[in-house]
Amino acid sequence: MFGEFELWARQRSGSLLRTAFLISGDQQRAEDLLQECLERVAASWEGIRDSPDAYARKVLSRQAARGWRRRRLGEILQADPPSRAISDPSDVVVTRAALAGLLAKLSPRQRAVVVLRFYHDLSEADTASALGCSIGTVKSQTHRALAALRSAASELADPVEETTANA
Amino acid sequence: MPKTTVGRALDALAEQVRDVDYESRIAAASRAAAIHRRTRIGVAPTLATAVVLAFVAAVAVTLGANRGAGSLQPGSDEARQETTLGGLTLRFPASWHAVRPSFNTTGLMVPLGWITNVEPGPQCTGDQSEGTGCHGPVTRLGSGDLQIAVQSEGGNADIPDHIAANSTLAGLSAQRIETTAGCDSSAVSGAEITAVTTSTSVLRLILCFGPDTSEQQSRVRAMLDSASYKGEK
Repeated sequence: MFGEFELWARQRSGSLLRTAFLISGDQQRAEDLLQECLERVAASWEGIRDSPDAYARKVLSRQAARGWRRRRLGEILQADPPSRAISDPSDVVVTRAALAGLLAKLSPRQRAVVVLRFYHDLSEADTASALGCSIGTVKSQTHRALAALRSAASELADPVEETTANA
Repeated sequence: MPKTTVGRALDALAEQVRDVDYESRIAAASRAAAIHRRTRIGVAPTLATAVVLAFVAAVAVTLGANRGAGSLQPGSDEARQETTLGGLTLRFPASWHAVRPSFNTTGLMVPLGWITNVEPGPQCTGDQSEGTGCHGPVTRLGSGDLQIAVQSEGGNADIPDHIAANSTLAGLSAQRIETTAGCDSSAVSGAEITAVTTSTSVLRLILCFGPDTSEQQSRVRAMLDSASYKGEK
């Protein structure tokens, strides 16, 4: 049984860690989330072997949002990014530090929605399913999150996103 | 489809993640799962205690919900009761249950209650004060089962702008989408109805149906057709 799980986990752990990092904003927290996620996937493997990616995203994004909320009650989240600019040759000129800071200001669910919608390119329905909320909530959270990001960094304005967010 | 600007920015931010020793983590997860499987039988007494507690909680939740659920309406073909959630009054079969949330949430989306034809269960397995691990009173829909969640979302003038009205609910302009996205994976059909209540807020009904619910769906249609809205008190 665990042969299949291990094969899947070797292929997906890197991507899961990056997702956890984007949602939580913290390397250590992301590593903890990855471990938690892997253990839950392994424990449930018999029942979810047909769609482990969707289950893993669900576990990871919900756990990340919950953990983030708990931290926000008593701690001020400090992103710790380097100050160098993003090396992407595209028109994105916002720095990693700036983007990490902007993401940290979003609510946990907004951040998870942004990562699932725009990093994983999930549909609104799949994002709603992963987070256990309605499509309407995904739409409104996406709109608010993009508005907040753009108000702070006009470089992130992109007409494609309006269409995507409202689709 | 090409990535959006935000998507490309997130890709670049994700490059910052330091890789870890994945092999040891995968092995640890495998070991933990194996231990979990071997010790399942050993936690039976704890599970039995949990079942008893869940039953007590379900009874308490049901009693609490029924106090605010309204009165029976004899005289029609089927005895009915009514409940008002967020100013929306719904009439439905007396044998169904109206359940109020037993937990707090810090989210912008606020659960107002649930209507279900299934005996309600506990709503939280985590911290009720944070709403952690909390959900509707029915987590698994069997044959003939349904659960309808009623939620409000407000405080932001942008929300109603996203409603492409294709229906009405209690005289309110509404958008209906056929989807099971907000339902447990056991749901085989569902819908999401978002009704605009003010210029800054909406009421949302998440309808989730298990298998073989054609008869129940006609009852739900009757409930929606007879819904009335008098605004938040």
